[in-house]
Amino acid sequence: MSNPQFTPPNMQELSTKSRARYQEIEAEILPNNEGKYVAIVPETGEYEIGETREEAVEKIRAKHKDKIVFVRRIGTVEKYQQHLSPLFSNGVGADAHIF
Amino acid sequence: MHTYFDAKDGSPKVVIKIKGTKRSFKEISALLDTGHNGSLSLPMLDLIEIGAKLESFGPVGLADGNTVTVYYFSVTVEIDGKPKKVQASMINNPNVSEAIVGLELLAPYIVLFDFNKKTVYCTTEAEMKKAQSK
Repeated sequence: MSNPQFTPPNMQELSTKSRARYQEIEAEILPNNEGKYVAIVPETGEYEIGETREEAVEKIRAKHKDKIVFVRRIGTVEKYQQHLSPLFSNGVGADAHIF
Repeated sequence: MHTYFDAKDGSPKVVIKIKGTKRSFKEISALLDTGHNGSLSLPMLDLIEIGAKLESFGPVGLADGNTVTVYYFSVTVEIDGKPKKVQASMINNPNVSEAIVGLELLAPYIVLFDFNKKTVYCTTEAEMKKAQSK
Protein backbone atom coordinates (compact mmCIF):
# COMPACT_ATOMS: atom_id res chain seq x y z
CA MET A 1 0.00 0.00 0.00
CA SER A 2 1.39 3.43 -0.90
CA ASN A 3 1.90 6.16 1.64
CA PRO A 4 -0.30 9.12 0.64
CA GLN A 5 1.99 11.52 2.52
CA PHE A 6 5.12 10.45 0.68
CA THR A 7 6.03 12.35 -2.47
CA PRO A 8 9.08 11.03 -4.27
CA PRO A 9 11.69 13.72 -4.87
CA ASN A 10 11.98 15.10 -8.38
CA MET A 11 15.69 14.48 -8.83
CA GLN A 12 15.91 16.35 -12.12
CA GLU A 13 14.43 19.46 -10.54
CA LEU A 14 16.72 19.15 -7.51
CA SER A 15 19.73 18.72 -9.79
CA THR A 16 18.85 21.76 -11.90
CA LYS A 17 18.41 23.96 -8.82
CA SER A 18 21.61 22.66 -7.23
CA ARG A 19 23.70 23.18 -10.34
CA ALA A 20 22.43 26.74 -10.69
CA ARG A 21 23.22 27.44 -7.03
CA TYR A 22 26.71 25.95 -7.36
CA GLN A 23 27.42 28.17 -10.36
CA GLU A 24 26.29 31.20 -8.33
CA ILE A 25 28.64 30.50 -5.42
CA GLU A 26 31.60 28.93 -7.21
CA ALA A 27 33.56 32.16 -7.76
CA GLU A 28 33.20 33.02 -4.07
CA ILE A 29 34.13 29.62 -2.59
CA LEU A 30 36.65 28.31 -5.12
CA PRO A 31 39.78 30.36 -4.21
CA ASN A 32 40.06 29.07 -0.62
CA ASN A 33 38.35 25.71 -0.95
CA GLU A 34 39.45 24.05 -4.18
CA GLY A 35 39.43 20.27 -3.80
CA LYS A 36 37.14 20.36 -0.75
CA TYR A 37 33.45 19.38 -0.95
CA VAL A 38 30.34 21.55 -0.91
CA ALA A 39 26.92 20.26 0.12
CA ILE A 40 23.93 22.32 -1.01
CA VAL A 41 20.27 22.14 0.02
CA PRO A 42 18.57 22.34 -3.39
CA GLU A 43 15.37 23.96 -2.11
CA THR A 44 16.99 26.78 -0.11
CA GLY A 45 20.46 27.16 -1.63
CA GLU A 46 22.04 26.98 1.80
CA TYR A 47 25.44 25.28 1.76
CA GLU A 48 28.28 23.95 3.88
CA ILE A 49 31.88 23.12 3.00
CA GLY A 50 33.86 20.16 4.33
CA GLU A 51 37.26 18.56 3.82
CA THR A 52 35.48 15.35 2.79
CA ARG A 53 32.11 14.46 1.27
CA GLU A 54 31.04 12.99 4.62
CA GLU A 55 31.96 16.16 6.53
CA ALA A 56 30.12 18.48 4.14
CA VAL A 57 26.97 16.32 4.16
CA GLU A 58 27.06 15.90 7.94
CA LYS A 59 27.32 19.69 8.48
CA ILE A 60 24.37 20.56 6.26
CA ARG A 61 22.20 17.66 7.42
CA ALA A 62 22.68 18.75 11.02
CA LYS A 63 20.49 21.71 10.05
CA HIS A 64 18.30 20.01 7.46
CA LYS A 65 17.90 16.45 8.69
CA ASP A 66 15.40 15.20 6.14
CA LYS A 67 16.74 16.86 3.00
CA ILE A 68 18.47 15.04 0.18
CA VAL A 69 21.45 17.27 -0.52
CA PHE A 70 23.60 17.90 -3.56
CA VAL A 71 27.30 17.35 -2.98
CA ARG A 72 30.26 17.85 -5.26
CA ARG A 73 33.97 18.52 -5.26
CA ILE A 74 34.76 22.24 -5.48
CA GLY A 75 36.49 23.04 -8.76
CA THR A 76 36.67 20.06 -11.09
CA VAL A 77 34.29 17.22 -10.28
CA GLU A 78 35.58 14.07 -8.65
CA LYS A 79 36.90 11.65 -11.28
CA TYR A 80 36.57 7.87 -11.19
CA GLN A 81 39.27 5.75 -12.79
CA GLN A 82 38.63 3.81 -15.97
CA HIS A 83 37.94 0.44 -14.36
CA LEU A 84 35.12 1.97 -12.31
CA SER A 85 33.30 3.56 -15.25
CA PRO A 86 31.21 0.48 -16.19
CA LEU A 87 29.92 0.30 -12.63
CA PHE A 88 28.55 3.82 -12.57
CA SER A 89 27.75 4.49 -16.20
CA ASN A 90 24.01 4.64 -16.85
CA GLY A 91 24.54 2.93 -20.19
CA VAL A 92 23.19 5.82 -22.23
CA GLY A 93 26.11 8.22 -21.98
CA ALA A 94 26.26 11.40 -19.95
CA ASP A 95 23.48 12.68 -17.74
CA ALA A 96 23.03 15.53 -20.20
CA HIS A 97 19.64 16.40 -18.75
CA ILE A 98 21.11 16.85 -15.29
CA PHE A 99 24.71 18.02 -15.59
CA MET B 1 40.61 -6.19 9.91
CA HIS B 2 40.09 -9.45 8.04
CA THR B 3 41.71 -9.23 4.62
CA TYR B 4 42.58 -11.96 2.13
CA PHE B 5 43.24 -12.78 -1.51
CA ASP B 6 40.19 -14.41 -3.06
CA ALA B 7 41.24 -17.71 -4.71
CA LYS B 8 38.33 -17.41 -7.16
CA ASP B 9 39.45 -14.20 -8.87
CA GLY B 10 42.85 -13.45 -7.29
CA SER B 11 41.66 -10.09 -5.96
CA PRO B 12 42.33 -8.65 -2.50
CA LYS B 13 39.22 -8.62 -0.33
CA VAL B 14 38.22 -7.17 3.00
CA VAL B 15 35.46 -8.32 5.33
CA ILE B 16 33.34 -5.49 6.73
CA LYS B 17 29.97 -5.15 8.41
CA ILE B 18 27.44 -2.66 7.04
CA LYS B 19 24.25 -1.24 8.50
CA GLY B 20 21.55 1.10 7.21
CA THR B 21 18.31 1.90 9.03
CA LYS B 22 17.78 -1.71 10.08
CA ARG B 23 19.10 -2.76 13.46
CA SER B 24 21.44 -5.55 12.55
CA PHE B 25 24.73 -5.43 10.68
CA LYS B 26 25.28 -7.45 7.51
CA GLU B 27 28.73 -8.96 6.98
CA ILE B 28 30.03 -8.65 3.45
CA SER B 29 33.23 -9.33 1.58
CA ALA B 30 34.30 -6.32 -0.49
CA LEU B 31 36.91 -5.78 -3.18
CA LEU B 32 39.83 -3.77 -1.78
CA ASP B 33 40.43 -1.22 -4.55
CA THR B 34 43.35 1.21 -4.24
CA GLY B 35 42.18 2.87 -7.48
CA HIS B 36 38.92 4.01 -5.89
CA ASN B 37 39.12 7.42 -4.19
CA GLY B 38 35.77 7.08 -2.42
CA SER B 39 35.05 5.24 0.80
CA LEU B 40 32.57 2.55 -0.14
CA SER B 41 30.46 1.59 -3.15
CA LEU B 42 27.61 -0.86 -2.73
CA PRO B 43 25.37 -2.75 -5.15
CA MET B 44 21.72 -1.70 -5.15
CA LEU B 45 20.56 -4.98 -3.57
CA ASP B 46 22.85 -4.56 -0.55
CA LEU B 47 21.57 -1.02 -0.04
CA ILE B 48 17.97 -2.23 -0.16
CA GLU B 49 18.66 -5.17 2.15
CA ILE B 50 20.16 -3.00 4.91
CA GLY B 51 17.56 -0.26 4.46
CA ALA B 52 20.12 2.44 3.66
CA LYS B 53 18.74 5.96 3.38
CA LEU B 54 19.46 8.22 0.41
CA GLU B 55 21.16 11.36 1.73
CA SER B 56 22.98 12.98 -1.14
CA PHE B 57 23.74 12.96 -4.85
CA GLY B 58 26.23 14.62 -7.11
CA PRO B 59 28.29 14.59 -10.29
CA VAL B 60 31.23 12.28 -10.89
CA GLY B 61 33.43 12.27 -13.98
CA LEU B 62 34.05 8.97 -15.74
CA ALA B 63 37.11 7.97 -17.73
CA ASP B 64 35.17 8.19 -21.01
CA GLY B 65 34.66 11.92 -20.39
CA ASN B 66 31.01 11.63 -19.39
CA THR B 67 29.68 13.02 -16.15
CA VAL B 68 27.07 10.98 -14.32
CA THR B 69 24.97 11.42 -11.22
CA VAL B 70 25.97 9.20 -8.34
CA TYR B 71 23.62 8.59 -5.40
CA TYR B 72 25.02 8.36 -1.88
CA PHE B 73 23.41 6.50 1.01
CA SER B 74 24.08 6.74 4.72
CA VAL B 75 25.79 3.53 5.81
CA THR B 76 27.48 2.62 9.07
CA VAL B 77 30.53 0.45 8.50
CA GLU B 78 32.02 -1.61 11.28
CA ILE B 79 35.70 -2.41 10.96
CA ASP B 80 37.63 -3.95 13.85
CA GLY B 81 34.58 -3.43 16.03
CA LYS B 82 34.54 0.32 15.43
CA PRO B 83 31.54 1.90 13.66
CA LYS B 84 32.11 4.63 11.08
CA LYS B 85 29.38 6.52 9.20
CA VAL B 86 30.08 6.94 5.49
CA GLN B 87 28.36 8.15 2.34
CA ALA B 88 28.29 4.96 0.30
CA SER B 89 27.82 5.36 -3.43
CA MET B 90 25.33 3.16 -5.25
CA ILE B 91 26.72 0.97 -8.04
CA ASN B 92 24.36 1.56 -10.98
CA ASN B 93 25.22 -1.58 -12.89
CA PRO B 94 22.74 -4.30 -11.82
CA ASN B 95 25.15 -7.02 -12.97
CA VAL B 96 27.68 -6.05 -10.29
CA SER B 97 27.06 -7.80 -7.00
CA GLU B 98 30.32 -7.07 -5.20
CA ALA B 99 30.97 -4.11 -2.91
CA ILE B 100 34.11 -1.98 -3.28
CA VAL B 101 36.15 -0.49 -0.47
CA GLY B 102 38.14 2.58 -1.52
CA LEU B 103 41.03 4.62 -0.17
CA GLU B 104 38.89 6.88 2.03
CA LEU B 105 37.79 3.97 4.21
CA LEU B 106 41.33 2.57 4.35
CA ALA B 107 42.83 5.91 5.36
CA PRO B 108 43.55 5.02 9.01
CA TYR B 109 45.33 1.80 7.98
CA ILE B 110 48.65 0.71 6.52
CA VAL B 111 47.98 -1.92 3.87
CA LEU B 112 50.65 -4.21 2.44
CA PHE B 113 50.06 -6.57 -0.46
CA ASP B 114 52.26 -9.66 -0.67
CA PHE B 115 51.51 -10.95 -4.15
CA ASN B 116 53.95 -13.87 -3.78
CA LYS B 117 52.28 -15.24 -0.67
CA LYS B 118 48.86 -14.05 -1.79
CA THR B 119 48.41 -12.27 1.51
CA VAL B 120 47.13 -8.81 2.46
CA TYR B 121 48.45 -7.28 5.66
CA CYS B 122 46.39 -4.54 7.21
CA THR B 123 47.59 -2.76 10.30
CA THR B 124 47.76 0.63 12.00
CA GLU B 125 50.75 2.85 12.77
CA ALA B 126 50.28 2.20 16.49
CA GLU B 127 50.26 -1.56 15.98
CA MET B 128 53.42 -1.35 13.86
CA LYS B 129 55.25 0.71 16.49
CA LYS B 130 54.15 -1.75 19.15
CA ALA B 131 55.48 -4.69 17.11
CA GLN B 132 58.80 -2.90 16.41
CA SER B 133 59.37 -2.14 20.09
CA LYS B 134 59.13 -5.84 21.06
